[in-house]
Amino acid sequence: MQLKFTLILSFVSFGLFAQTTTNFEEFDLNANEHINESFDVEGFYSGNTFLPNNYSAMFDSYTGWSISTHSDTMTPGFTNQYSSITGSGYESNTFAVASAYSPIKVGLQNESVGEVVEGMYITNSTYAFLSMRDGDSFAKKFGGETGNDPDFFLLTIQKYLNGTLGDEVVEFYLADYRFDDNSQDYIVDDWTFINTSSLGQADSLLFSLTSSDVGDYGMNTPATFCVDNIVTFGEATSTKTPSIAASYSIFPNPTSEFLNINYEDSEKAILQLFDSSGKIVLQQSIAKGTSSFDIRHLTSGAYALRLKNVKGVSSELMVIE
Amino acid sequence: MIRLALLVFLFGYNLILATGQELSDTTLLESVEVVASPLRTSPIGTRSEEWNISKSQNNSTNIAELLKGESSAFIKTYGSGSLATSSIRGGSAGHTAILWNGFSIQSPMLGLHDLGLFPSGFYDKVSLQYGGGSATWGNGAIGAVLSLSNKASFIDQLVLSTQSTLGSFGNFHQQVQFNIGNSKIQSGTRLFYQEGQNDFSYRINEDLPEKKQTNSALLNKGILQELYYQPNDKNTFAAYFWKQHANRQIPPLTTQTKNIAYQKDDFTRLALHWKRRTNKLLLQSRAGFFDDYIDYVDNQILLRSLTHFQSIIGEVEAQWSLDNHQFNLGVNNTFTKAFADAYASPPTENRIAAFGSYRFDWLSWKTQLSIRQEWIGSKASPLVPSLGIEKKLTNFLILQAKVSRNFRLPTFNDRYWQPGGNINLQAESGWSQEMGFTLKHKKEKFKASYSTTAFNRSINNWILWSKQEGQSFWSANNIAKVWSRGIEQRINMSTKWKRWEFNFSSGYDFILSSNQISITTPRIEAGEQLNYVPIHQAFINGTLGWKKWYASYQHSFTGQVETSNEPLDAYHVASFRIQKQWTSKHFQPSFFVAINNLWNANYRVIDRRPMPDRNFQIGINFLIHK
Repeated sequence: MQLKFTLILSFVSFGLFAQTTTNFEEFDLNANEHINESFDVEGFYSGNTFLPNNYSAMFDSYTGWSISTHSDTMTPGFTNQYSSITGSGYESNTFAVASAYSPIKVGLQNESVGEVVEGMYITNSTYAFLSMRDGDSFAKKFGGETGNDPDFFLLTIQKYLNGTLGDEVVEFYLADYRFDDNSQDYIVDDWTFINTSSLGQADSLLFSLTSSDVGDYGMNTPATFCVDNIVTFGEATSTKTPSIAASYSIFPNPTSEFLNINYEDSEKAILQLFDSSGKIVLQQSIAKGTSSFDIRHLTSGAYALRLKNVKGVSSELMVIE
Repeated sequence: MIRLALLVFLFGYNLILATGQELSDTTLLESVEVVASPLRTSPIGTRSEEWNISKSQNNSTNIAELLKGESSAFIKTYGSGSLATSSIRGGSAGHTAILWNGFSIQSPMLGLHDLGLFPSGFYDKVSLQYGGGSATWGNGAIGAVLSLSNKASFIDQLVLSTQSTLGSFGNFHQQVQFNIGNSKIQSGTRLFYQEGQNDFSYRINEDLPEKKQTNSALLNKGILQELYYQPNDKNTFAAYFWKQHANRQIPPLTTQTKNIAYQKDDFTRLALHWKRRTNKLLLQSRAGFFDDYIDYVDNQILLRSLTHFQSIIGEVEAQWSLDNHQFNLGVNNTFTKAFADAYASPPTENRIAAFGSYRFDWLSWKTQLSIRQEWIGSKASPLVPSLGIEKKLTNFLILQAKVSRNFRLPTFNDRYWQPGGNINLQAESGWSQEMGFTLKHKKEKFKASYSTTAFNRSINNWILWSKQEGQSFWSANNIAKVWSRGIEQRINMSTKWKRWEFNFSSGYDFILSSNQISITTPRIEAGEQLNYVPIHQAFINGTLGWKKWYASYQHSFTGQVETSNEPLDAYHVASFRIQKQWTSKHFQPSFFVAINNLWNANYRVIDRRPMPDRNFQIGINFLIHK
């Protein structure tokens, strides 16, 4: 398996200004992978944006944003919470998934700070889409028992500028069942470009979800949606996550019993080993020095090893014999 | 119009009483319990109801159905044999302690037991002690104690009884009981098999086409083997083996397109009892081993949740008498180990309990003081005393009152589930008071009684799963305080005239149960009635008998209940049954035909779960003996 770093940076000519499109491809994910742990920096930098992420290692759960290539459009439920209903990103593999039971932000970076955000592509997650279409043990099927309930799932985007929440609002119905004619009811199932330029200049954008399906426990509809290709003002000064390949060496490779890593950076790092299906089979935090891991329980084959610290990330192929 | 007339009847009988009609009977129980000290099974000051399950007349399939038809317990269920839990006196399902032959059998992981799993033919006696019973039974006995018990008759016997029932929606229920023994040894074998499709039709409203329930099949089967040995008048040994397997599909909600989930329940329960009785002293010792699995599988969302626990229980108690003083002392040790993927490692718990009671009878007064202390590891649970008083004012009027402190321990899930389990949880605890009176009248073949009981209870540290400030996940916390209070009234009448028999019972409960503290998530206003606790509940049951033909009518009314979504409307449900028995020297057959949901009510007990429309049952029972 060859891991590739791809950096796709689009410079779109729009009037006189250069723009950056954040499409998350630089996270270098294989198919059906996700990152829900941003590791130390509490978020993901990508293009001109910063997507906050608060990960709980104890419970393997997160709030805010995760980065994903999951493409399962069939499986309902939270076990498939990282897939988009389109089965991919917008004209690409990678996209961001929001977990927004309370409002979440996207921060602006570099030249885009204090400028207009042109817009972004948005669609439903498979989890939310199938929950609204078919109902689940917690949330209702939109339309309700009779099919006539005027249900909706609304994404509201606002902006902060200089610490103040603006009055401007952009609304996007991820599902709308409020039509008198039920045949017009819809749930969004493709990437839709949402123009946010009417919000004006911004330091960050705020995303809030509301649904007609609310109970004592708050909103019942899964509070997730997917975002891709955020078009921001100005060139990104650094869009590629730096490689930290020089800071470590692994040996032996191929191996059959133990994986040793000699890591020379003083920043602690996280080591992950993925099998060919993209599943994490080993995840350990390592510190400076030589660490050794018993991998005798793993079946023979090709694995991808990824090492990540606050300075960057690096990956390589591992063969277990 | 019929419903209106019934409603007037249900609520109107109090007016009849107020006019001074003299009614009587006793709802007080004589102490014949064999599974524990009578001081514990029939405590003074406690209102009880009990049902002796007859081998030839038992028609209810499980205890959930029995309680739904014969008591005012609010049973949350969505059809025959479905998962079923109770709310009694404004408590939650975990606030009813469930005992089998004196052993607490609630799941320590969930804190409750599914009442749909208890075949009613597996027990000889079912009793419901209302109100707090923690001082005698410990954990969870806040709203009521449901006691399921087996007992032996040391007589020369060879008895085979069977009950077969066919019902609508593919329901079939078969029960077989075989008893053999003499004055020294007795063996009882009970087998139970139930299956059903439960693919009933329902309508959301009259404008929409009928829908058929799906994924609602069930299979439930089990065996209970009892062995009793009485070598002499003083000693009795008993051994019990109970094994059961259930596989129930979980039907979709009305707001769900489909569901393919199912739940398998498997448990094995072993118990050994030894009882020694002399004139003044009753000694009992018992041991139990419980092994319990719940396997919930939803392949649609790729979810499997397998949970498992094992408990070993040992208990020793003594009751002795000195003139009009009676004493009871005992200790219990319960060791539990639980397994679930959501637990970091299998937690264990060892609980030791010491309990005692003192009863003093003087003239027409009876008083009983009980106290219990438990230790969970090194941590002490609240010390729980109770004081019950009973006064026979006249031959037809008895007053009773009780004050007790009660508690419920956090479940294993409350403590260890990840995320959200909280090992620092305190036990829920609080005081409850109740008082009431019973009027009774008996004249030749006419018996009547009327009772009223008022109760008041406050529970602190009520555990709720909630989202705390700064937390991204739900966690268990001692955040609520619940105040429950109410009035329960019962009327019973029975009479015989020539070859006619008539039995009538009726009840009305008014229960307020409200959280006293405002909570944001889940959203609960201070003073708001708890979900699934009806304020009004009433029932009337009447049976008319003639030459062993019986016609019975059961009617219940359940007031509006709150849910986490919209409130559920009040509803009336009724059933009608005709039964015929024959009696001969060695053979007692009977048959019955029943119509359930007689008036074809479109109602919901649980939000978004439709209930079966009018449906039918036909059954044949045989009892053959030497």
